[in-house]
Amino acid sequence: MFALTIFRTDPMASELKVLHYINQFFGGIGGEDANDLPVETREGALGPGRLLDQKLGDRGSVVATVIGGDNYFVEEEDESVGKVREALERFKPDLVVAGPAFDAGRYGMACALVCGAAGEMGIPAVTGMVDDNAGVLANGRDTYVVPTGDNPADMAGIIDRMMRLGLKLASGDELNHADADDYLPHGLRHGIVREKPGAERAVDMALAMALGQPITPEIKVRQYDFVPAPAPIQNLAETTVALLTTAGIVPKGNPDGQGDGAGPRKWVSYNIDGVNALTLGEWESVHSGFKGYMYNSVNPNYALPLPALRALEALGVIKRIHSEFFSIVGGGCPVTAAQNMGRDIAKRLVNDGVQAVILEST
Amino acid sequence: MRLEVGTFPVRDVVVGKRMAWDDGVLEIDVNELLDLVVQDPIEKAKIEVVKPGESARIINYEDVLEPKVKVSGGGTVYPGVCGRPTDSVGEGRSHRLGSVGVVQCLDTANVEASVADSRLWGRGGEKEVRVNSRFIDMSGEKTEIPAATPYAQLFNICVSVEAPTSVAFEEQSRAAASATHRVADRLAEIVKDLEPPDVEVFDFEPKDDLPGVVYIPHLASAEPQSGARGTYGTAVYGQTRLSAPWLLSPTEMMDGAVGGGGASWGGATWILANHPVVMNLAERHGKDVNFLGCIVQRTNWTNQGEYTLVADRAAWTAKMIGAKSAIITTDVRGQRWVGTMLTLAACERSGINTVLLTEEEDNENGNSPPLLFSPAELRGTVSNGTGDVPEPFSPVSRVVGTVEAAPQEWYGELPAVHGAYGAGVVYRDFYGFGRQSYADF
Amino acid sequence: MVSALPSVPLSVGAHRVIKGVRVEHLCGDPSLSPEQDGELMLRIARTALDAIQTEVTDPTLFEPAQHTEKELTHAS
Repeated sequence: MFALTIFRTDPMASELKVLHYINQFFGGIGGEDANDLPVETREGALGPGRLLDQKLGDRGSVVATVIGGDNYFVEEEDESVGKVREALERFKPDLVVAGPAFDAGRYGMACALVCGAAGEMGIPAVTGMVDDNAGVLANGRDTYVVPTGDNPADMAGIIDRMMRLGLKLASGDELNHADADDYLPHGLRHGIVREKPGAERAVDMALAMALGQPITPEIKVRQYDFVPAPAPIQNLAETTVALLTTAGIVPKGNPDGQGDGAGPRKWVSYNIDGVNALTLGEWESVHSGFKGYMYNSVNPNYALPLPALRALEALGVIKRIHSEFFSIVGGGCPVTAAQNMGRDIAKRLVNDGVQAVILEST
Repeated sequence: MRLEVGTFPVRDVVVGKRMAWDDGVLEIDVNELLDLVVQDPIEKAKIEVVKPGESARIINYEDVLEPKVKVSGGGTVYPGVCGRPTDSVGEGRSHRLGSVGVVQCLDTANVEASVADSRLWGRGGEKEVRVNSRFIDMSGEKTEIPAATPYAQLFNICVSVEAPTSVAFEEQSRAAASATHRVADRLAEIVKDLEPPDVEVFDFEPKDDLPGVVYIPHLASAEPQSGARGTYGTAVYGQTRLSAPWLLSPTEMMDGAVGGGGASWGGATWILANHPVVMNLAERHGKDVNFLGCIVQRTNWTNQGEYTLVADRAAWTAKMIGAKSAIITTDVRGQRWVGTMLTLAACERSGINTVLLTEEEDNENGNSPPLLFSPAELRGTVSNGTGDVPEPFSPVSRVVGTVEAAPQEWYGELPAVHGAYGAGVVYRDFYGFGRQSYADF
Repeated sequence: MVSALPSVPLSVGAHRVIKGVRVEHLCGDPSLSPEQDGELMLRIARTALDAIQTEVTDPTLFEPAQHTEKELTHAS
């Protein structure tokens, strides 16, 4: 008599082992309070993971699903991530897929943490969520996120897209740019070669817009990191005010080589104690972007209103003008350099008890 | 407006005793051309031919012209510059030599900067030496994508002029420009009365059933440096000054109504007369677009109020002529970017779709946004990249652009170009000639 | 911040922006008489000081033209 023994055969070398993370809701576990369920791991696919498994076909299978309550995961982060690591060590997947989380913020964070854990173990990972989900930036530049809307009815399409990106990541092939390979950009931009010259692309785009057709902009608007407004000064008469100009005002002859192009950008400062106004002929502007004639030959105080502030200082409107004024050449200044100089100067001013700065920029 | 353009293709340039074009071969008499160049105040000059694919580098270049001539229709090509007549162009017929550039090179090796010069630029220090660090490489991968340089595909007839120290810098440049125009005119004259093998007809009869598109280039004016009557930098009908926007027909652009180079501006007459946006729209006029014209906007105004005024006027003009979409470009950025953004916002508020075609700022490893700043109205964007060239430029066998032997360092390998704004640059693709671009990663 | 092109600092998030005169002469105007030029510079300085005493959340533009120097000239 033959006994049929069913072996668990290892998947073929080329067949990918995928581990899927979903939350309790999509896993079909528990009701309202399932939010608080701790992380558990089950073999095989669950919920939308079944769709993923199906779509993988011969290319792979979902060997395990990790499920967690959104609240629990985020509140007990260390424990939860620990459970995820255990699952990763046990199943040794070739790819981790998390979510999609759509617009659920805690789910998004959990997905990001799962991807982060996978990344630490050298396992490629992909997730999906709306572009302003907190989870998007949780891991900085290391997570690949497929942009989604907030409608779970789109699940099938999104799973498909996540799978495609996941397969590419797992293959080790270099990724194309964010639009081409369907992931949220990480804030980096690199050179690429497009199919048509820029002029032609511009005409195509102008026509598409005129016809009301959708377009894909090549430069998405990105803001600088905004800082909140500092609180207003309460007592001006007790305030020391410093002056900072980006017109590159320096003593005539430019003794400190400001703006000479050699070396990184720097700020310089000069003492103005007892100076009521900058004397014409003793100062010059070394800014590269405009003609400094007015500042050099008519009135250097146009670059920083020193005589006006001295008058106000004498009247007690402000306590005093800070002993040194700062001078930067603003022309063509890289953002990073500007930030560094700003931080440096701010630190120095805070140390010196200065509460306000008037920054004159051209 | 309707313009016929007769092109005489050139597949080789030979130096000989005649001035002739025979079935694609251009023969030039260098001595005859030198006689045209060496006129007061110029005392010393050299003319050399550089061909595509040669291991050669052109330095000291300030502008590149296309040999072109009006056969009928009135006016003189490149109107208004260097004292040329300002009569309107863009009609009738023009003849051109295809694939030929006439390069204006100003060799300043002998020049000691004068006090007058430094006051012109208002910089510190009594002496200031102007350094022109731009160059054109004629071969190697740098002539291909991604470092697209249209000049590398041309037969470049380089007119190297020793800067006449008897006159101030701006005059030196003007003298070199005039000389280069004399050469370009003489070359074009060769084919003025010949029958062109190829004639293109550009007829901009309005096609009101197609979407109206206008092109709005922003061109920095040198007025803050050189004054309203200065001759340096980009000019419209010879006017370099800050002025209200100009509405031009595309055919006027083709006849060189907008031109002028200068070391700082990075653009050149050849590019403006073979403008990729203009030519693309021209080709599609009547097929899928109604190309309404070009609104040439100046930048380098002195405060926001002035920028806002001309921005509103440009948008108003575009609206008046029926634009549904506008393609917007700029050249030098920095504070001039304000003008470009204000024009864009004004157009959008007037109901005109805008596409911003531009180079972008260096990414600084993710720390810096691609654009200096942008209004909420910004939607359509096409990127020409940052102007960076990631690989160094190979050494060359020949360096052209000086009257005496060129300095040794120009023969060697030149470093890769970083895209940081303000870095010395080789070529800026303001207008989307190439396929190089940038994208999010 | 005093700027002749306020769009720039306002767009990148500078909270208190004072409108300057021109790029080439930011805090004054050489075409005015010395007295008027001085008053203008004072007005700009005053506006800057007013701005730092004003509560703001978003980037805000302050225009010196709206300030008069009457109080100062009468101060004793």
